[in-house]
Amino acid sequence: MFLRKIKFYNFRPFKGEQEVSFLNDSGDDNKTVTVLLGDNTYGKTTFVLAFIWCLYGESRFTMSQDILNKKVAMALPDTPGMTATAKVEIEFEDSGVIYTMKRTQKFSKNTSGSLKAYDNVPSLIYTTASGETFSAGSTPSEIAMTIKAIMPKDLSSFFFFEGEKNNEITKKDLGQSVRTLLGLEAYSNMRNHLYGNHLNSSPTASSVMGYYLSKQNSVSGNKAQDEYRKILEADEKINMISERLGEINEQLDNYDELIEQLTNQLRLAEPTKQLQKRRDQISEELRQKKIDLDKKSKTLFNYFSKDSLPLFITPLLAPAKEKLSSMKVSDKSIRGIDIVGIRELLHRGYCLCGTDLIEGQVAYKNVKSYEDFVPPSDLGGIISSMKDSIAQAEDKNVDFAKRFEELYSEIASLRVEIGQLENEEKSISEEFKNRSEVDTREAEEALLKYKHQKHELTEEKEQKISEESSWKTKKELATNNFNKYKAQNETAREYEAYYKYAEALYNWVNDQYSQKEEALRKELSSYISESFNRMFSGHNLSLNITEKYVVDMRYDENQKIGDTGALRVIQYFAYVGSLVKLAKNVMLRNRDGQETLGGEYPLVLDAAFSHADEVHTENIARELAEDSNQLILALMRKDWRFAKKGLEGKICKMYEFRKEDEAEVYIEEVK
Amino acid sequence: MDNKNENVNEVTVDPVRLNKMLVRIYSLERKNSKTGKFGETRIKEEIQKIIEEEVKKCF
Repeated sequence: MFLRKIKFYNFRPFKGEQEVSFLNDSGDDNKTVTVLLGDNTYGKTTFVLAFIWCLYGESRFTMSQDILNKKVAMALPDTPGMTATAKVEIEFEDSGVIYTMKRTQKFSKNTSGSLKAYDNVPSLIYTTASGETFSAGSTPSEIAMTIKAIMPKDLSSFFFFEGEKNNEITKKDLGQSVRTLLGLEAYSNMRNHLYGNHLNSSPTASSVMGYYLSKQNSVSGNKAQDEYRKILEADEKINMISERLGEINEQLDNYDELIEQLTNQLRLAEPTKQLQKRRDQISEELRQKKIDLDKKSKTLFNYFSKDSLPLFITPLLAPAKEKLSSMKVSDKSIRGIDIVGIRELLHRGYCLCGTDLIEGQVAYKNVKSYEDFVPPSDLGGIISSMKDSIAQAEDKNVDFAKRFEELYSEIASLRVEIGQLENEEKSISEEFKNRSEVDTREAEEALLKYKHQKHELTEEKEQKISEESSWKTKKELATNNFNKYKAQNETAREYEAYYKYAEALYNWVNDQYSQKEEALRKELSSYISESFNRMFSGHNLSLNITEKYVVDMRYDENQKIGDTGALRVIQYFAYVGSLVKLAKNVMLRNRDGQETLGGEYPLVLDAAFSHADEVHTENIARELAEDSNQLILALMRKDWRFAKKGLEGKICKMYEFRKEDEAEVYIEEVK
Repeated sequence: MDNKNENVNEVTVDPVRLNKMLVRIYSLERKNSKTGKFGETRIKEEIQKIIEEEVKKCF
C-alpha cells in the first residue's frame, strides 16, 4: 500500500476542500518521507485520525461526533432538506492497482439548532493497470472486507499512530492481521478453496478437489458409482465421528481444567478445613464451659446465702470469747437441769436417788437451793453454753472458707479457660477473614461428578476412535474398488489428472504454510530486536514475538521489562518498523520467484517523539525512514529540529499547518 | 517444492507445472482478497480454470 494523496472537505478544522499529496515528484527514490509541521491544536492528530475514519469508519476523536467543520455547521440553516457534508478521500496504490476510498457524512440542523448526523457512507473503487475502473464492494461490509485485506484494522493503530493518546501496544492476538499483511492469508484461503475444512478426512463436495472427484464418478459405470457412494458414506461418518471427537476432546480439556481447579481449591482449602474443625471444637468447649461456670456460680451463690452467716460474725467471736473467759462466775449448775426440773422434784416429794424431800428437812432445803444455780437464774451455765457455741462456729467457719475457696477457685479457672478459648476463636476468625471461604463439601461433590463425566467421555472417545478406524478401513477398500472400476476413458483420466494436481497443490500448502509462517515470525523477532537496540542506544535487550505476534521484551530469559514511557514508544516503533520492513523484504525476495508475499506499507505518525529525547528522536526518525517505503510525519517544530538529522536526504514533501482559528486550519505545502 | 515426479495411478504430477499453478492461484487469491472481485463459487471456478489450463499444457 502506497498513499498517493488525501483530500479533506469540511472535515473538522480543515475547512473547504484541501488536498495533501504524498507523491514523490523529485525522481529520487530515496525521498520517501513527507513532513507536516504544526504546533499543538493545529490539527496534526485530526490529520492522522482522518485515515482511520476514512478507511474503517471509526471516529477516534475525543468528541467522536465532531466531524463537520464547526463554521460550516454554524452556517447551516435549519431549513428542512438542507444538509452539509464532510468528506475524506484517500487515494492509494496496492499491488499495481489504484484505489480511491471515500467516506462521506451528511448533517442537517433541526429547528432547535442542534445538528443531526446521518450515517457515514463509504465507497471504494479501483482502477487496474489497463485503466478499467471497478467497485470493490457495494455494501459497507464488503468494502470493510476489502480494506481489511489490504490494511488490517487491528494494525491500524500501528500504521496510523496517534502518539498523544498514548497508544498501547495491544496484547490481543495480532496473528490473523500480521498473516494478512505478510500475504499468508492467501495460502489459507487457497487451502480452503481446494479442499474445504482441512480438519475433514476428505475434501468437501463444494471444494475444487470434491468437484473433480464427483466428475470422475459421473463418467464411470454402476460398480464404480456404488463404490463412490460408499466412499461418500464413509466420509460422512468419519466427518461426524471426527466432529464428535473434536467435541469430546474439547470437553475432556474442560474437565481436566475443572478437575485441576477443584483439586487446587481443595488443596488450598485443607488448612482452612482444619481451622474450621478447630473452630467447631472451640465452640463446643466454650458452650460446655459456660454451662459449668453457670452451675458453679449458682452453687457458690446458694452456699453463700445459706452458710455464710458465721463468716460475718467471726470477727465478733474472738473478743466475745476473750470476754467470757475473763469472767469469774461459779458454775454449780447441773447441765441439762433447769428450774422447772428442780420444782418438779420438790413437788413430787422424792429425789432421783430416792431420798424423801419433805419441806423443812435438810434434803428438801438442799435441792431447793439449786433453784439459784440452774437456768434461767444460772449465768455460769449460759456462759459455758456460749463458749461451746463459739467453738462450734469457729469449726464451721473453717469448713465454709475451705469449701468457698474451692468453689471460687473452680469458677476462676473456668473463667480463664473461657477467656483463652474466646481469644483463640477470635484469632481463627481473623484468619478466616484473610482466606476465601470454600465450601469443600460442594467442591468434593463437583470433583467426583467431573471425574465420573470424564470417565464416561473417555470411554465414548475410545469407542469413537474404534468406529472411525472401522470406517476408514471401509473407505480405503471402497477407494481401491472405485479406482479399479472407474472408467479408464479419456474424460475420466483428465479429471483424475486435475484431481491429482489439486491434491498436490493442497498437500504443498498444507505442508508449507506453517513452516513459512514460523520462519517469518523468527525473522520479525530478529528485526525487532535489532531495530529496538539501534533506537534505544546504549542497551542490549532481547525482544521476541509470541505466537500471537505480541512483543515480549526481556533483559535476559527471566527478567521481563515493563513497557512505560520512552521504552514503550521505542518498542512500539521497533515493532511497526520491523513489520513494514519484513513485509517489504519478503515482497522483494519473492519477486523473482513470482510469489507475491508481503507488500509495501506506509507509516503515518503524529507526535511520534513526544516521549523521546533528542537522541532517541533522531534515532527513531532514521530507523523508521530506513525501514519503511513511505513515512508521513506530523510533528511539532521543536521535534523537527532533532528528527531532521535522522531524515537527511529523505524528505520528498513538506507541509505546514496554518491556523486561522480553532475551526479553520489549512495545510499548505512548503516549497 | 518436491522436485521428483509423483506417480499415482499413472498420472504424473509435473513439479514445474505445479509451481506455475501455485503462483497463479496464490496471486489470484491475494488479489481477490483485496478487491472482492470473485465470490466463493466464482473463485473456485477460477482455480479450476487455472488447474485445467496448466494440465492441458502437459498433454
